Amino acid sequence: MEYGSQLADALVIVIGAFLAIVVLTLLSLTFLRYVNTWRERRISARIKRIEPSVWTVLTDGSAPADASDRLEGAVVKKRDRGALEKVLLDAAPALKGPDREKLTFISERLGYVAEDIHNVRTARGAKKAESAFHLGISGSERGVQALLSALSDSRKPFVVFACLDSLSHIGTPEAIEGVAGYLYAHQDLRNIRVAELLLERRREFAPYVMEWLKEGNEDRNRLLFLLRVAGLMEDPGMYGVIARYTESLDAEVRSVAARALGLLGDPKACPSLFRAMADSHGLVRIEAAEALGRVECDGALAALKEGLADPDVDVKRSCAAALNLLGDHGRAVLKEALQAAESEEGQLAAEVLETAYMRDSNGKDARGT
Amino acid sequence: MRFQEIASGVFLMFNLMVFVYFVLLNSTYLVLFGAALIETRKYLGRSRAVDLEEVFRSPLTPSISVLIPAYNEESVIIEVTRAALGLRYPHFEVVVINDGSTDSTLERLKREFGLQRITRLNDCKVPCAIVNGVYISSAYENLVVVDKVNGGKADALNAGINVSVHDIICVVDADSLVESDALLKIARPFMERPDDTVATGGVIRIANGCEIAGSRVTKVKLPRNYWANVQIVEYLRAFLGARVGWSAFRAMLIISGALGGFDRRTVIDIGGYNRETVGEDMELVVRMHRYLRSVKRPYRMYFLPDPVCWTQVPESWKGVARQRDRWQRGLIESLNYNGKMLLNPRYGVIGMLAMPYYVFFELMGPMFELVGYIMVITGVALNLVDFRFLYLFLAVAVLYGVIVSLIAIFIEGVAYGHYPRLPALLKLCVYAVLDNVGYRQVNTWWRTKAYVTYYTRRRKWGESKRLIYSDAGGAKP
Repeated sequence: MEYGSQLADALVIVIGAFLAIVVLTLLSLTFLRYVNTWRERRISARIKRIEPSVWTVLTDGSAPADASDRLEGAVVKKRDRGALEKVLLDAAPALKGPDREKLTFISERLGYVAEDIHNVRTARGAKKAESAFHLGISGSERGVQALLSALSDSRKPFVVFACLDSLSHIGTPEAIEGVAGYLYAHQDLRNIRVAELLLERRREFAPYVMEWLKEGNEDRNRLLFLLRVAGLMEDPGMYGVIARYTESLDAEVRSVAARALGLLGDPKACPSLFRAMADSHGLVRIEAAEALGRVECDGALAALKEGLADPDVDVKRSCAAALNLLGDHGRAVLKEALQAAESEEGQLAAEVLETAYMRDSNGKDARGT
Repeated sequence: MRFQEIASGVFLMFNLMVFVYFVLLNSTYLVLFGAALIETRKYLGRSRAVDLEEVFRSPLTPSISVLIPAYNEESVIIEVTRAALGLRYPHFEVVVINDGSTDSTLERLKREFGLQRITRLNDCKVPCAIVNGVYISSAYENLVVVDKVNGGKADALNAGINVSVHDIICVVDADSLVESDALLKIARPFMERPDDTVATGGVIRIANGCEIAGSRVTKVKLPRNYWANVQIVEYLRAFLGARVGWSAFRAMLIISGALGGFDRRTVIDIGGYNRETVGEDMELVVRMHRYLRSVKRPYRMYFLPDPVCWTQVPESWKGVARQRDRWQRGLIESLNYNGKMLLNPRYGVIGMLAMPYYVFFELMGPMFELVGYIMVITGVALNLVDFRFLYLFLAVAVLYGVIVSLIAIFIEGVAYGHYPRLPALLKLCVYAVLDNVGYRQVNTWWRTKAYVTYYTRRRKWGESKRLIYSDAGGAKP
């Protein structure tokens, strides 16, 4: 009993101490957070105060050196340095031509670029990524080397993306080559951010994507990703390389290739799309029908009309929607299908025509799809 | 040996068992919450580097069908539909499913949005009750309303899945207001890992007491009602702690029915929602795990701590009791339907970790806890209890509970800051204590009672008294 009682006392003390430490830690961290919030509010207030004058300096047509001097001395006090950087970064996307060049000059002159290059080289984690982003926004070519070396050193995805993004923004041949090389070496990178990056500079990256598709790819998911991106690149040269994949042994690859051809909108794709309409897999026929609604192909009407009798309801629905996209001729085919009101074709035709009628008759609110 | 000595021995053994159970349970919570802290830090790091504008602009952003099942929701349906239509997302449709409401839910929708009935091919990909009609709006291109015979929430969602046309479905409760950028965040994992993402879930927060304007929560405030406040702490604990923690272990078994995104094709492959359960949200997720692991398809489910959906919670003990009863029955049903996964190595971390946790702590916990209270009271009455042990046990139980709640409040305060004023956080800390004294005990009673109702009550919509979302003054009774 004595032993049990001592044990209980010891447990109470240990647990009590543990809980006290946890509570104190939580409270102090929460307090620190509020101190941070308070500081952020002060910085926001400063930003608000200096923003109008910075905008005036950036857009008043003055010489970059003169603007930089004015910002450094008269317009903004030294303690506002952090706030000024934030204002410059926020302003960058809205500025074009000489104003944009002026901003890059000011960022260089005031030492922000040097600071960011230093951080990209030496900092870690979020700070590294943040500085990498800043270099991209300021568009300084001086940052390319630092970004490329950070890219090869870092494994953290958000740092990698920050570097890729910034290199793509800077857009010099060396930067583009660096991004392409990295993407080629890291084939598992196939997400939306990579796609966005490739599409933002589609002219520069299209030759690389075409080359990668020509090469073929053992990684099926990478291949699907490249086909999706290729369709959106609006590059007429892509047609041949995408069409090749409509004959793939993999149904999903064929369907994504058909969709990509539709997005490309090149009438040269028509024979491939007609072939896809006869594919054994429903998914391919759905995409082919949708694509025929977009590409101006002779014979699309007949192929889609035939598709209305497809055994797969989803293919039928896709054909009906595509016929509607083809305008009056397509709608005439749908009206014809209405004759057989009880059939699936008739009901689908009614569904598409009624919806189209509703949309056409008002068209006031075009939010969403 | 005298009876008193035997009884005393039995009580001591039982007390020890209860003590060990509590320490195990709360230590599991601490591990989960530790994982949640790490995961939250990682998530925030990742989020900082991602611009939602990119997601919005990208031509590769997948289209989403937002499904809103509604049964007798005339008081809130217009606000909720408007909030859904105003979501910031490039391509989406809103599908409201009127599940045979007996009030004027459908009429209000028709009047407000100028609905007109259209022909729609009845294409049953997943089973559901008879659809009376499909309506589209003359004012909003992306609004579809389905009117169907009453069949329950799961049935309504199945009807929505049949009518929806996009690759991702996002389920939203009819009493919830979704934050405008929630869809962008819900969709992000589907874009970042399109090959294997099958589900994403978001955080549900409590709108009671908040200021609402234009179908959006404009100012987050704490309510005055005790029940609502104590549930805020409970929700923070569940969403910012436990679910983030389970997501870190890739063993998330629940995605709330109030806000969740799913790969439509996978949902159709598993036959849609189970219409025989009141816990259709958990059952769907558990069945997805079961199916995907059975067919050995690599997959990921994500819990995202910042796509926020605001919902109303009951402000009376009766309302809370009904809700807990329904949730517990849903849990029993979900685990019952998928019991073969329990301790089955074939299902990996789900079978060996998540299922045992839910069975031993969530399912059996209330019963065990209730028996513990009864034994302690009996022991005190018969003078069989070592009071030092009893105090120790109570101290550990309550303080562990408080710590777990405080961690959740801490995550909220530091990482998300929805309650920007310090007094609000301190008030929540007080409720973190109150939650463990009184509320926890009645909750245990309600959840234990659910075993009885599980065998006696048939499945139906959870009917709770709705508050009206008012532009002028927040949620009003």
